Order: sequence, then C-alpha cells, then structure tokens
Amino acid sequence: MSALLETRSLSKSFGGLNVTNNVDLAISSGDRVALIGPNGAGKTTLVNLMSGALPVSSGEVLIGGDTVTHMSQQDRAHRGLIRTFQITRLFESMTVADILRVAAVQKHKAGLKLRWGRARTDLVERDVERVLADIKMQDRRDSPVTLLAYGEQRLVELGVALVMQPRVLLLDEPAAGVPQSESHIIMDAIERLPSDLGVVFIEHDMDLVFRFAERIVVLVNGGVFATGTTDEIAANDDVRAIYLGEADE
Amino acid sequence: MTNLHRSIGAAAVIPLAAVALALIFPNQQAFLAQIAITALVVLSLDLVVGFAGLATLGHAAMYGAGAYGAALYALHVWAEPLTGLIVGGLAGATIAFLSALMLMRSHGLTFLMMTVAITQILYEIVNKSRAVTGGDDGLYGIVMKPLLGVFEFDFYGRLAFWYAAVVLWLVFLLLRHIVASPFGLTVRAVRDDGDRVATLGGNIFGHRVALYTLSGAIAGLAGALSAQTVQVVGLHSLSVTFSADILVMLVMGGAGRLWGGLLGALVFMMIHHYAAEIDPVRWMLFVGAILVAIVLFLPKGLFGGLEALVNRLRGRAPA
Ligand SMILES: Nc1ncnc2c1ncn2[C@@H]1O[C@H](COP(=O)(O)OP(=O)(O)O)[C@@H](O)[C@H]1O
Ligand SMILES: [Mg+2]
Repeated sequence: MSALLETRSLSKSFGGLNVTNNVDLAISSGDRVALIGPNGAGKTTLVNLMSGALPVSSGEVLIGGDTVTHMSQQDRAHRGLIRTFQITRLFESMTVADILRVAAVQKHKAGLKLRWGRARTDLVERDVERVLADIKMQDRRDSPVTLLAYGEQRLVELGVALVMQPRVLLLDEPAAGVPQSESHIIMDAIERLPSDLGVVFIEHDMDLVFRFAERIVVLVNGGVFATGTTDEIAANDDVRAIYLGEADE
Repeated sequence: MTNLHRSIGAAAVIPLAAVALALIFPNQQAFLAQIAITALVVLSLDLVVGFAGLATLGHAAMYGAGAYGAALYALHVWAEPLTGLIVGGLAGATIAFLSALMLMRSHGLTFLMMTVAITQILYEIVNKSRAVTGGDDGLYGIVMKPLLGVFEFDFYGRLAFWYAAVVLWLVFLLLRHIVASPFGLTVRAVRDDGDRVATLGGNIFGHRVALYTLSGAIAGLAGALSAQTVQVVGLHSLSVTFSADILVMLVMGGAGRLWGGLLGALVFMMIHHYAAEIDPVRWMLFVGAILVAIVLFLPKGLFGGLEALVNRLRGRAPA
C-alpha cells in the first residue's frame, strides 16, 4: 500500500538559502512521527511544502500515491491532509463555536450553501460538539476567541484540525505557548486521535516527543540528519551532540 | 427574548420606520424613496466592505449598470416595473461577476485601484456611447407602467417610496438569512483569514466571486429602483464620486453590520438634505466634520455606538 503522505527529494530555497534539502519522508496510516530539530532547521517550511502553503523548489509531494506537488492547499485538504500553525491562526472576529463551525462547514463542503437545513445543521453541530468535548472547552463555546488565554487559543487551533477528521495531520508545535499545566489537554486530545490517522508533530519538549512518537525525524539545516525509532534516536550519539545536548542546556 | 422574538422584532423595524418616516415627512415622499434606495445600495456595499473585508471605490459600477439596464429596458422593451427591477439586478450581477473574475485574486490597494479603474472604464464607455446611453445628458423620459398593473406612479413619490421600502425590506430579510447561513459564516472567515480557510479546503476565490455577484445584483436592484422612480439616469450613478459617497455612509453607520448600512444611509441623507438647504455650498463640510468625529469616537460607526450605549444602559458589558 502506498504511503498516506510522501516526499521525494523535496527541496526549497529562499534566494540562496537552502531551507529544505532533499527530504525523503513517508507517513503511513497509524504513524506517529515527531519532527524535531533546532530552531531554524526548516521544520515549519517542510510542513508548508507538504501542505501546499509554499511552492517547492524541486522534488515531489504525494498524497496516497498521487502527485500533489502543484496542487493548492485547498485540494490537498480535500485529500485529507490538514495542518495546524505554530502561531495560532483563528478567525479573530468569531467565537470558539463559530470557528469550529467554519471548519465543519468546509469539511461538509457547505461553504457556498445559503441554507442550514436540518440535516446539515446536525452534521455540523455534531462535529462542533465532539471537538468541544475533546478539547474540554464546552463552557467556552460562546467566548470571542480573542478573549481567551493563549493556551486556550492553542487548543482551539488544534480543535479546528480535529473537526476536519483528516487522514494525515501535521501539527506544528501544538503545545507551544501552552502553560505546562494545560499541555496535557492538548496531548490527551492528540492521544485520542483515531489510530489509523497518520500524525506528524513538531515538538521541542523531549518528554512529549518520547511519550507520543514511535518514530523521530531529526532535521538539521533543512536536511534529514537522522531518522529512526525513539530508542534509536535516543541512543544516537550524533543526535545527542547536535540536538539533544543543545536542548538540555 | 427568544431568537424567534428577536427575528420578528428585527423584521418589523423597516416597516415601522417606513410608516413613521411617512407620517413625519408627509410631503417628502420622493426624498424618502431616495433614502430607501440609497440604503439598499449601501446594504449591498456592506457585503463587500463589511462582510468580505474588501475596501472598494467601484460599487457604482453595479449600481449604474442596474440603473442604465432598467432605464433602457423601460424605454425600449417594456415599461413594466417588476421585470425592469429584475433586469437591473441581472445587469448589476453581470458586471459584478465579470469584474470579480479579474478583481478577486487581488487584495488591499491593488484591489482598490482596480475597482476604481473598472468603474472609470465603464463610465467612459457609457459616456461615449451617446446613441444608446445619451452620453452626459443621460437617459430621461422614463415613464413606468403601473406597479402590478394597478398602482400608478404618482408625482409626489408616494408609490415610489412604498415600492422602494418594500424592496429594501425584502432584501434586508434575505441578507439577514444569508449572513447567518453557511455561506455567510464562511465569507466572514475568509475576511478574517482567507488562507486559513483554504487550508480547510474552502474555495476562497469562489466565495469572493459569489459574494461580489450577490452584492452586485442588489446594487443593480437599487439602480433600477432609482431609474424607475426618479425617471432619469445620469453618469453620476456610475461615478467613483458616488462610490465614495456610499462608502462614507457605510463607515458612518458601521460596516459589517446590516443595521449599520441602513442607519448610515438614513443619517447621511438627512444631513445632506437639511445641511444643503441651510448652506448649499458648504454642506459637505458638515458631513466631513461628522465623519471625522465618528471615525475618532465611534470606530464601529453610529450603529456600534448606539449598541454600546444600549448595552451600557442595560448594565451589560459591551460585547
Ligand atoms: N518565507 C521565507 N523567506 C525567507 N526565509 C525563510 C522563509 N520562511 C522561513 N525562512 C527561513 O528558513 C529557515 C527555516 O525556518 P523554519 O522552517 O521556520 O524553521 P523551524 O520551523 O525549524 O524553526 C529559517 O532560517 C528562516 O529564516
Ligand atoms: Mg517552526
């Protein structure tokens, strides 16, 4: 079976700066892959290339075996690829429930519909309620999102992705900016994701990485520096020297 | 108050206001008709500016298309008002759709400049097509058949006012429904962060084109009403100046809220009417001063200010 998401010799440069270097990755159903690497290693850029937010310089992106290298973000989303943002991007004029509703409306391809109707309302509201429960924000449903604490906004950012029920989920530092005391809500929600989903998450907290990842990809200067199971990476001296050592300081 | 009560209450505001205005200004029905028509075009502008977040100085293109379309239809085809109204709406929608295909991939200043350019091109085409459009003389001698085959348009503008008020009311009810629909919700999301909607699979371009076309259809209706009730259509209806005027009304009233557009049109037209009577030369200064005051003190416009006041009187924190 072909991988849910694959990159082949993926490269990106900004001017003369090579930010992504010949990256080969394959994400299969059920994968839990942590993407780690120092700041500026090119992790977010890689997510941008896979999701279609940025055009590639060379190489290919495939979803379910089909080349999507030149497809829009929108079309990749329809193929089941959803990403979240390192810096929260929510619809700032809206309440929590409406933001989730926007996602649910897109999921059910109802963005151009002029009527809610009973059936569509049911579908959309079921998604909204499911996710509000998942991120434990039922009591915040009617809060304008700009009035939430940043940690709560991170939860909503994750919630938007959960509404979509993707096949592959790319999480760019989902817990960044969330107080330690609340990061378990994010991690619990990630842990409850359907087991057949392919998940790639960028994370700096090595405790979280070792707890949730089965496989780790270490990115340095835009290239894959090492890849392996959590145990292999933990035992890899080069990785320790370059990355883990640095993170421990 | 339940949602149902609130909906019924909101639906009653325009009819009640129309009756009140007709009682207070019994001899100014033609002017009141102008207010209703202007409110309609400002309402359509609010879809683009307030709900889609696209600042435009080209809305007159659609209003003018509706006005000329309805005028030509009445002069050469059939002087029946309701089919003429539909022709005006279609004319506005067509211009909006065609320009949206060019406009809706641009943003900000580029978008603004292109709306101006398209309006000026249209203005010049109409200006130069003298044989059809009357050039800078405009089109006149538009005499409409009775509305619904029964009600004659009168010299005092009584029918004109009720006709315009009913169209305004129906469009307002339709827009309230649309703004709350999946489409309306998505349009607001696209305004806040279009790219984010794309990452969820939404079609930003499609949404913008659909919204602009809808807005153009309504502006076209307003233009048609104007042609049919004033019985004259001039180049002003297609001008950037007129586009700017209705933008001022919208900002005064409060963009992004349907009530804001209505209130803005009403207040602007009243000020215009009375200030121009007192001082025909410098009345624009009044409007300018009031606009500056609103922008400084009421960033959400008159309606936003009114709402904040009501909330405070009720002892509630503003939303
Ligand atoms: N749009 C861009 N234009 C130019 N340089 C960029 C752009 N986006 C990212 N970069 C550069 O690419 C490098 C990798 O950035 P990024 O992918 O955000 O790293 P990470 O997410 O691993 O911290 C950085 O040096 C950054 O400055
Ligand atoms: Mg990053």
